[in-house]
Amino acid sequence: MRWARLYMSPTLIILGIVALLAFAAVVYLIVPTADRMLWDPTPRAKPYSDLEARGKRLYGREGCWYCHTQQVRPVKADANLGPVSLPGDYVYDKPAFLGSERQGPDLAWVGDRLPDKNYHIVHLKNPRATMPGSIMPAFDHLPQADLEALAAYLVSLKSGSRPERDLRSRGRHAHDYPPRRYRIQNPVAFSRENLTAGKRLYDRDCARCHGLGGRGSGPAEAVDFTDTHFMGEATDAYLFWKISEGPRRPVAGHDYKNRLSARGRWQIVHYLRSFAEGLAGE
Amino acid sequence: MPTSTEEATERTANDGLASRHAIYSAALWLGLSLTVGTLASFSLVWPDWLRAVFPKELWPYIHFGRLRPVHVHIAIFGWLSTMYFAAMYYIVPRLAGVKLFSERLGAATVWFWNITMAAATVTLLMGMTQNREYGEEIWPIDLMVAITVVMLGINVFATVAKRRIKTMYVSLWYMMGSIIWLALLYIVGNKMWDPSGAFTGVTDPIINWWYGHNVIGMWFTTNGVAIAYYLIPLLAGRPLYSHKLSMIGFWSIAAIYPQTGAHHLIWGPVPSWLVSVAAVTSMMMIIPVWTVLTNFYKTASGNWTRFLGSVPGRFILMGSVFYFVTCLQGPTQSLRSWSAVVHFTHWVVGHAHLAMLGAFSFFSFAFAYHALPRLLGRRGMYSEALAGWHFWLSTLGFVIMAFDLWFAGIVQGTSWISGTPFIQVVVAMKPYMLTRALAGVIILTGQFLYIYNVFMTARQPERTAKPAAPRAA
Repeated sequence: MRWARLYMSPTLIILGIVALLAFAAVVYLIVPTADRMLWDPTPRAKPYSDLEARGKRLYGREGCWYCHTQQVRPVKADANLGPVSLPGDYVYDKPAFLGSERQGPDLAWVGDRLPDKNYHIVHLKNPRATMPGSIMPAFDHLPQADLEALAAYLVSLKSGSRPERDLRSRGRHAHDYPPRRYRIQNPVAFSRENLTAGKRLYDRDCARCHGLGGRGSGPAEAVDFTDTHFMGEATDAYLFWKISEGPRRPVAGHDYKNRLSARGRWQIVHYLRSFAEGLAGE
Repeated sequence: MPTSTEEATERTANDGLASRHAIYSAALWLGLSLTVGTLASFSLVWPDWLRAVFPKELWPYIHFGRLRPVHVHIAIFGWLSTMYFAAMYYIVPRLAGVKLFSERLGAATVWFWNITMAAATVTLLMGMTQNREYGEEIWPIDLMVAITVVMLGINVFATVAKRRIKTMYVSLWYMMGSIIWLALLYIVGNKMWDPSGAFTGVTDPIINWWYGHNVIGMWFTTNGVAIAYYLIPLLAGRPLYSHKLSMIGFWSIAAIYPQTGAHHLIWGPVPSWLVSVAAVTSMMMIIPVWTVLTNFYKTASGNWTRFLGSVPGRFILMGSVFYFVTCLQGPTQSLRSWSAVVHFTHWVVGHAHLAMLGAFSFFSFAFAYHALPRLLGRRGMYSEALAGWHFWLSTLGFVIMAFDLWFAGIVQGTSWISGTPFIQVVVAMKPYMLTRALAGVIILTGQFLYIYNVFMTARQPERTAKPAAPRAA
């Protein structure tokens, strides 16, 4: 086995594994930094005040982030947690407390839900007084100043959008008609080429929230394109309008009239139809 | 293939010094880590119980947020990594056909590492942390870790350089590779050129998980596999089934594993192409895992009576089963659809324990039971019966704990999807958390038997000048 002997040299093994690891380092460390999405702050991101920054350090020191995440994902489980988190929400964090486990609730937008600092101070001192059944440790051993800093940090975690208890029960498109200038026919022909182009654009720009399969496996805001009732009611013009201007409850970055050509948006409309008709993937 | 050189070289008092010290140290860290883990696990049922037991002055240091990183760090760095040091100091010279480059340097490495781990325990309990999972240690401790890895690397590479057996057995590749991987990953992943240790924005979680998952795959996995590759031919009394398969396993893990880290951030606020890269490569992990396990199975099969007749053989077999299940779970968890159910739940905690405790700790136990009597020139361990009890308590306790955490995770995940109020899910978890804590007590009992057995073996009078030397496989 002559080829096998090549692998027996320590030098070659070392060079080989270092090269493979370096390739991964390029993929993880270098390539993502080229994406503006990671660096441009969203409108709701803001730098911390001194007190909030101190609270954030305490949040880290006490290990709050082992049990509380700070990321809302475009999935059904997170539907009631507020707007989906975007990379630009974290540009002032070093490090960002994305978290990896939810022994306690997600805190990405806890300031929207619970804007009262005093609530947090009482809750931190005796979690079971405000939330019977909670398994959170009590922090009444912390000095009052620390509790106030923590509370200031927690209420600063807000998106500014009003929380709604169950977004899924909201009538999604009642009284929701496109303005006159959008009441037009789809000028792009339904063809395999246009469908493919639509798929490419969809996978790139829409799939993160609406799902690759169009099932809206995302938050309640992200509609389910396989929902035949919804797709039956929605005209092409309605879909084109929503793609262009974004949904009624604003979603950052959904202004595709500024990002995609009209042709591209119409191609996406064709592709959206294919989900409910079971054509996607063919 | 493994050959014993114990007959060939003259034994001196210093022989095996480094490996012995590492095994003793690791046993103590194991006891500490699992004690802390068990204490913490009860606070998920009764959050105030530690306050009832300990005086008020200690309250700031003993809540879950402080105990969890101590448990994790001491388990993976204090216990498992120290065992890996022991395995390298034992296995590398035997596969190279020479003595270890320096036993004294090895022992010094172990004791410097013990100081590092003690410092990590104290600082983490005091709340000094960089707040990055698996990378919590503050900068000075990061430096101490890096120094230790360099000391370890000098010893291992110098031994390999003067080897007499020119053909390098697969365990050697894995051990050499692991040292390089750990060094590079630790330095980059912990951002060691910056004492704050963190990157800005979501770049930090991306790099954190690149490091955090790779250190599992390219230090803990690869060293565990190296131990199993060394022990299985010896325990089965026959040569390795296929060297070609072992090459495929090695180069595929080296190519695939470094790309998998972003599966910790599925649906998270990171570029979705990166998550896709991680999902695809995670699925491809089936290649290295199944080639390695096929190789293990084919080497041992046909000789099960001999293989399972020894405690190390049982630990290796059970560890391989756990490794197989880990690597069925891992790829499926990296799929967006399944991640949407189990991410952030106890399922993932069960998965993490499956790899670290079920697979790699079991391989390490097998190594300790195989190597310690030989290092000490004893006929065997102090008590085979205690070793058997250790095996069954660890296996039983862990199986209960793992299934409990997986069921708990599925209940949690599906309840969140159905829109159940969060606190109701927390309360519903309490019976599961109690079961898990009690399973932890069973596991912990087994580990105390192991620690007792290790130290009683060390204190035993030397019965014979020569150990029952393993047959050259």
